[in-house]
Amino acid sequence: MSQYEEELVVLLLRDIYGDIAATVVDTLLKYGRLTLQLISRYSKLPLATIQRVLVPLVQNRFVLYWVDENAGSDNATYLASTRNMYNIVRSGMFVSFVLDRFPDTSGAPDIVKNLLLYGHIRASDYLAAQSASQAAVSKSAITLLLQRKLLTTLRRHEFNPQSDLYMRIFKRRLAAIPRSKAVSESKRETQAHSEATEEFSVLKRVHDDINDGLVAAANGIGSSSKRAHSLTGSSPSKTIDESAVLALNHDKFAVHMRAQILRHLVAQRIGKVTAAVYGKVLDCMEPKLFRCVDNTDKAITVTSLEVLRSLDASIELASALAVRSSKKRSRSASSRASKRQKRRHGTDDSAGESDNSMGSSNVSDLESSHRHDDNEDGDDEDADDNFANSSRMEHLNFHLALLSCNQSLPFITKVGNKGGGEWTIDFDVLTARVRELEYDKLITQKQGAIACRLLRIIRDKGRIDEKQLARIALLPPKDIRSQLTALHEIGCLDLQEVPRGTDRAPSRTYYLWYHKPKCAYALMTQAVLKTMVRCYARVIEERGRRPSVMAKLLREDVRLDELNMLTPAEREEVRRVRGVEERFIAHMAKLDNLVLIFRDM
Amino acid sequence: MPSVKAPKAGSSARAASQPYTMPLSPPASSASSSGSMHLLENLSQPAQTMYNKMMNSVPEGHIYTQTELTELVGISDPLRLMGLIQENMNMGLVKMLQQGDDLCYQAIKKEDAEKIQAMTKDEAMVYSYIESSGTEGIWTKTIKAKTNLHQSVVQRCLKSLESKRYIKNIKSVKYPTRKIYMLASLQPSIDVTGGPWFTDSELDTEFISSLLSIVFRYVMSESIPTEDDKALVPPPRSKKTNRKFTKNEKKEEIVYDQLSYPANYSAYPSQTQIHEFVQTSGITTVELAQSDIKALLDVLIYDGKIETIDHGMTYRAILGATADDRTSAEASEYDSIWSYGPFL
Repeated sequence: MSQYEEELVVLLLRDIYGDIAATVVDTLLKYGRLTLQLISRYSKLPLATIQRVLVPLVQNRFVLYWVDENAGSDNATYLASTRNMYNIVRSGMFVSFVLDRFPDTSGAPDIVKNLLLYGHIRASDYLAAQSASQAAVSKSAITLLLQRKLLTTLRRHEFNPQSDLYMRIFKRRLAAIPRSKAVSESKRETQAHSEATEEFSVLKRVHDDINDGLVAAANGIGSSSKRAHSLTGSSPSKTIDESAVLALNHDKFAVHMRAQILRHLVAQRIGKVTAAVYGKVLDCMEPKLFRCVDNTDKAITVTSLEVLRSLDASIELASALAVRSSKKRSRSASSRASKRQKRRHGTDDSAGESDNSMGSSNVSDLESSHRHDDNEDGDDEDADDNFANSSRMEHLNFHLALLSCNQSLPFITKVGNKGGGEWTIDFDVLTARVRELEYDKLITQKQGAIACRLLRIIRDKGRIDEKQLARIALLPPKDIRSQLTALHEIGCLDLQEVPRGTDRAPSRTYYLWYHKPKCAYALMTQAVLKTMVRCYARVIEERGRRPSVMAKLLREDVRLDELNMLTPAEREEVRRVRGVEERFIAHMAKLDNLVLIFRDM
Repeated sequence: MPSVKAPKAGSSARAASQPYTMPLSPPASSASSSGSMHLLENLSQPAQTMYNKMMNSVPEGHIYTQTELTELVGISDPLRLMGLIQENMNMGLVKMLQQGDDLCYQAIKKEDAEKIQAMTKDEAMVYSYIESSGTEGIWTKTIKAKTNLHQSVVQRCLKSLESKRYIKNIKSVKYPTRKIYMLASLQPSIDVTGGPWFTDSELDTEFISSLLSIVFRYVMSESIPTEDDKALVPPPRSKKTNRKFTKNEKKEEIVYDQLSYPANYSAYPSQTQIHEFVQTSGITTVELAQSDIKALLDVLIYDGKIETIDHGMTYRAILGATADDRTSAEASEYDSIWSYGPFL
């Protein structure tokens, strides 16, 4: 049910591209695939208008087209793509992200802004439209952005709907497998399907190539090949291919947003310094991550050495290790020592993700078992001295160990020992946990802490009835019932009836509560999208209430000098409208964050 | 074993319908023996001797097998022995029980025997069932089923027994609508009253929440470095370091960006430690078992406030996870998103 997403998208288009564009897209969303004549018929707009309006829509890939060679006629059918249109919401954040990473003088933000406007641009056209000096700056900026994969090249097939592309590949493959008595028809089809899926996935990943859109520099730009390879691995002596068509890569931007969310979570759960370390780990991984889901098959690893090199020298790693004050030490030191033994034996058996085998082993190695009887403070001090004197690498490993020690929220996992330690991130597990945490937060705000407690219990236990729930949660059953029904209404929980007898009398059935995460998240996302629709509709409404002032603001002379060209009353109106805009658009950004977590991450 | 003479009709019902493990004997009642001699006088001399010996020589409630009784009174003739036992049983001074396959006997206090003799047959039957249920108590429906008496008859008996204060009505925690009866002198078992969380058969939510916050604060104090702890390697003196200077500038307070225990830190509190802490803190007079503490810790985990390390060996508080920690500004920010939400 992407009803709200469609509403949002039409609203955005109406505001930015105009009424006609919105109507056309609305028609396409309502009726599905249409030819030009059908669009004209259903939307009651003249053909010429529609043709005119389809141009920017196709340029931005909001509307995809397909020309079927075998259909006889030359007619193209058009299909609206809500996913591409939804990315309009993220355009502001994209620009601010680029502004953060690249200074304004480098020309990178301008490129991004222009691409947002035009949808896609051929590199040669863009450079030709600028003066010579600007063009040089732009060239290097584009190269950089291409290397970082924030820009991507477009191939012809990306203007076509994916289902049609797949069908074409499938048909070709099917035809390539000869009919024979030995092979049944269904077997042919399955084989064709598997081959087609492979080919299709290769097609989808055509931009993952490091040198996508780049060619070797003729001379000049990257002449010193002795320079160290850049992060991406492609040598700096590349420049853009002038015939390439450039467009923004929203998948890569989603990867960056995900990294930001994860960093924020680490800062909350562990600490700021560890969050900075984690940020660097993610940065080291980032060149190999092309999209959030369905990445390469091989796991991506990062070594501690890499992270160490990329860390700012100013980040103080060691001062995050705390020692218990001597007041507290003696009490638990002996129990600690015996626990240490237990843990070592215990973790020897466990698979992979134990923390004791990590780089901070030099701390625990010294605290060997035969020491624990005597001088408790003594051996702690030795271990601590060792830490203080050890290298920055050990300090780094301390932080990495902190990140990996939590089994329920594994930010990072150790997979090897080369280069000081090899680490990987299991994004699937991590994303699932992040979604759980985020959903819990939303439920807590919406329904209260008790409801969240119940949700967590139900999630843990699977299916559970009210009485058990009350017993585990230590809450009276009548309080719980209202919370459970409220959660049921939101779609967070579901009921399973288990009848005790052949009749379905309510007194003779068990009612078990359970939680289906995917379903719940989907409902939540729909609610969020609905909220976004309302936010944006409100913004438009506020603007619509002051048509004269808004029209005046669009004037060139007014834009340059608002202070003098507007009357005080008008200025006040403008201030009010801007305030409303700011508030709601900022809301939409936060809501988009939620959509990213639950849908795109 | 010699054949047992068929007991007299009056006491048959009671004797035959007691297949069980022993109930607790009723606590010592006051020694008012005004009516009790009355019963004893009806017995023959040897029967009286046997009874007295049964009552006096060994601890109360002792169950005698036939061989033991033979030894006690010194009469080896089984027929005569049976006669004496029968006499006592007729007076209600001795009760016959079944332990496995054997029959055995228990002496009943004179006061109790008086009580039972004074009741009607139905009442006595109902009373015996209630007595046999011990501290668990028994449901009216069960009494009705076992005695096969009519509902109104059972009700009448219960009413009269209650008025005589022999039995009392208690509320069960598991089944709040059921009427459970037990002997007036006994204390209901833990099962029925629900354990430490229940006061007057109701869940004591304030008590629970206060316990939860105490346990949480303790776990937090043990898992997060506090002001007393300091960094092993102090941050370098540079312009960027956050250092707070107090008014007289003699003492420097260092504000850390982050202070954490290492990943292999093992002094997080365990369940036993926490239990000890709660016991010694004297927060409550109620006895809390380890399982109660575990229940509390589970609730805290489900609240998202603590987490387990080592699969439940130790517990650690989660940083920044509780909604209470959020400042009011942030909280209102989130609220306002929902004010435009669709759930209205």
